[in-house]
Amino acid sequence: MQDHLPLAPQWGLTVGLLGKGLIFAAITFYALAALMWLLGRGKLAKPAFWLATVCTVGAMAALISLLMGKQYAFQYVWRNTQNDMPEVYRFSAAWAAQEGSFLLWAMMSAVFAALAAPFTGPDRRWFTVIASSALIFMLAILAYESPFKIHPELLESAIAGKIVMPPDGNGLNPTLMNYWMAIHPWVIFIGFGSLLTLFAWAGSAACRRDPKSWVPRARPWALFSMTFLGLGLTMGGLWAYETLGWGGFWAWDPVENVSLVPFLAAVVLIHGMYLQSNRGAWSRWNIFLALLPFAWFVYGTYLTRSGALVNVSVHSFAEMNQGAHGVLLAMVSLVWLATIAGAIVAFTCRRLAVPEAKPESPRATGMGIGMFVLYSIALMAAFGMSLPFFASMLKAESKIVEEARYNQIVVWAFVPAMLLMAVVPFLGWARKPARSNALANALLLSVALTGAVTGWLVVNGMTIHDGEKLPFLQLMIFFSLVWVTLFAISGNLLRAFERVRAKTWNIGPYMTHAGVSTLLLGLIISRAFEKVDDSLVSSNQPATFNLAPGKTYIAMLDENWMEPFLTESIADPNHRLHFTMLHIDDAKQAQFNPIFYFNQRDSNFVVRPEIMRRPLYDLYFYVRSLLVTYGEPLSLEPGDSKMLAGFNVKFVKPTMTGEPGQPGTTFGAELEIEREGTTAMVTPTMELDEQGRVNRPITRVFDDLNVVLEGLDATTKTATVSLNLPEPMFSTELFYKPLTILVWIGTGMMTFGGFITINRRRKDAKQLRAEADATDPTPES
Amino acid sequence: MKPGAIIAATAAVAGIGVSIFAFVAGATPYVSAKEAQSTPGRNVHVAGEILHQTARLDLRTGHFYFELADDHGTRLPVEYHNGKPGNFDSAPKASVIGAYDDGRFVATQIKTQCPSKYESSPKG
Repeated sequence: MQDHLPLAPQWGLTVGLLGKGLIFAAITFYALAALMWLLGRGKLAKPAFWLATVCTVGAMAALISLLMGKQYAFQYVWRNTQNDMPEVYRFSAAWAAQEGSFLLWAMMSAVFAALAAPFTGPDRRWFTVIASSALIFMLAILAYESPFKIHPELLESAIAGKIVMPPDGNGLNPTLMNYWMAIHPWVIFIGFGSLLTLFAWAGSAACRRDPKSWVPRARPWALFSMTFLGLGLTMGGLWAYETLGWGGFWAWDPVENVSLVPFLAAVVLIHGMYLQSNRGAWSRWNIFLALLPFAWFVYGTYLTRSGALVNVSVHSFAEMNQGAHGVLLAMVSLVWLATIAGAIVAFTCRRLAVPEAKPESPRATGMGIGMFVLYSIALMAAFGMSLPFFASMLKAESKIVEEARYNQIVVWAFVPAMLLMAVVPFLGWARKPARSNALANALLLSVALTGAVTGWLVVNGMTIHDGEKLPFLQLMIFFSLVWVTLFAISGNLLRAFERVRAKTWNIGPYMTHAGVSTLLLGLIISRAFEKVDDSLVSSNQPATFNLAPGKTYIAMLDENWMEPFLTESIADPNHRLHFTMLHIDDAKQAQFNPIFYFNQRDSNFVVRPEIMRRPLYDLYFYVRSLLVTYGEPLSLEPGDSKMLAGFNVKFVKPTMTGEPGQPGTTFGAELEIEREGTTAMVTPTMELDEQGRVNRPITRVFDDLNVVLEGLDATTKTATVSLNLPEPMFSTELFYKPLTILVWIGTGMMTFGGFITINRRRKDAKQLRAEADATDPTPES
Repeated sequence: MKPGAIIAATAAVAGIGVSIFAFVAGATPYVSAKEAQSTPGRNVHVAGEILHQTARLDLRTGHFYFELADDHGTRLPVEYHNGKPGNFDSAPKASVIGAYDDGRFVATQIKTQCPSKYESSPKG
């Protein structure tokens, strides 16, 4: 079959070989860098570490060039790209599947570690040893699970070593053909990659028994890590919202939790570092806290990539190669052993040069409690996602934690976390009362805002449940959530305002707090107060959506919608349906043009929600499916009765006019169709015309049913009957989601605050390095 | 050890204990199609391959019907009362949460999986 296929070009095979070679070269250079540092040969170790990084980046460049060059002989390229795809997605396919995303993780970890290494000062030796060791494991996974493998079928059928080139690839999963695909993985993997740097830095501090000097240097890097993890998480939520059609941002899926847990762990670390820098406290803890985010991420990677949660997550990954699985398992074990060892050193070693802590203060205590509460949320998420894994390890009945259960449990930690975020910024370092006037202002502002927000929701007919009264406790919890987030926003914005007035401009942490709270408020309100209705629509029948009083919408489908089905333009990934949405109450119209196309490779329709964004709400329109038939064709023997979609179909007897095999002969099936007490007798037929073609005329019943005789077996007398809709219809859904804009505003504020703080701490670290260099000109050797 | 620290540690341990209990007690058992059929009325989670040719939507009631084949190949007829889920057509696998009742599995939730794995041949 492959005789007609051209040979794979030599340049592609060479680049593939180079990519594979670069991975092995990177492993070798990392091993060399670690060994040289262990032998105290820093001058040799530094270039080796850099070369290893270059090789890792080079491997990614090789993969991208294979993808862009359409080298379908490579399994990864064939599986994730196709000829007719936009170039940006061909590029993004580099991290679309298991092997590519491991390479992206390794590359980001390598680049981040290489950038941080020159700033590690006295930690450089152990930092490089630890980072190199971890990177060797990451790259070893890629040695087994390589994106540079020739497709095994092509390899098996190669004659005299000649590999042929398939003309086209299998194509990228349509869900991934989204602009977020080009942005989100980079951002979140910068965050994931940065975790290794924190791990190696803290590991070095433990090895050197020095919990003091590393914190000011590592702090901007930790802030960078936290900011990118947070940004990546929210981008993932926005991607899900804009693509998946369920109108939500977060579902506590294991893959989401794998990102959330290290993020929360990094947030706790940031606060620990803050306390250490300002009060000399938490220095032992900070070593442990900085080791943990990477340990959590490696553990989560194992859970989601090894197949342990294959039936639990909506993100299905290919099963892992056995060798790669072994390496990842060894990596998880060693990383956790190292983390525990680091913690033992940090907490028990008497030689540890612990800085002298200043006296306890309300602010430090409040932050400590907040750190505990945040970590408890991380532990809850980690435990929830691990439950099926633990059950399988213990041979117990497997159990899965659903989204609603997560929400019910996490809410108990969420309320105190937000309260602390609101109150702690007003507490002082010394043992004196909080700035109660300023705090009271924040409290009053939050109460006023809660009244305004809930009042607006009630006036606009937005209730939490349709027609059902919520239990008092649930109602109180809900309003507590709204108020407590508004309290955190008010408190932190007031604090930021105070700083601006005092011209100190240190507003980063307050902006980040206010941003996170705004984001969470947006998630809570847009999900809890959303209104949704579904309806069927065709060119003759508009869809009606009764969302709430004053919120009735009618969607009318463009009458020429079927034209693309007659040409091939329905297969164009940019094809859109055209609806006119009429708001009944004010007669305003808007156009909704959701993407809807036929994916020829999977033989199914791909749909995307269409979102109309307004300052106070989103209208979220989703075409769930195209309906043509009531269900699978029925096979009936004479006398048989079967139910389908409310129709009871009885096959009375077969009929025939004419001679079998002769043109003009008509076969029929006499059917008795009953629905809700009304019965109709029909005889759909099949007719053989003069050209030998079989015609299957449509028989209309009850105004909303077309019956077609698909076949009649002459031997068994079995009739195959289709029950079809009189005209194709779309099943559609419309959501009204209030204040979704807060999610975007919150994301922006959070990121802005993060970068302000990074910049500030970067300056602090620079000053510290200058001071250290003045006292010891060769701190790295 | 200070009394405050003892109280905090006790509260932490108690909180973690309560959370673990709440997770374990409230989690849905993940079972095979056969087990779901043998324990009618019990809220469970079943995952499997969607048999797309069996999918149909009752336009009058909005109920959606399809069959799921679990890892052992056992077919489970599923009934879902909230219409056809988004992305159902392009999903190779799904997880359903609900209870078996009177010959069919009444799902309260359907999670469809992304089709990130393709198995066709490169030789066309």
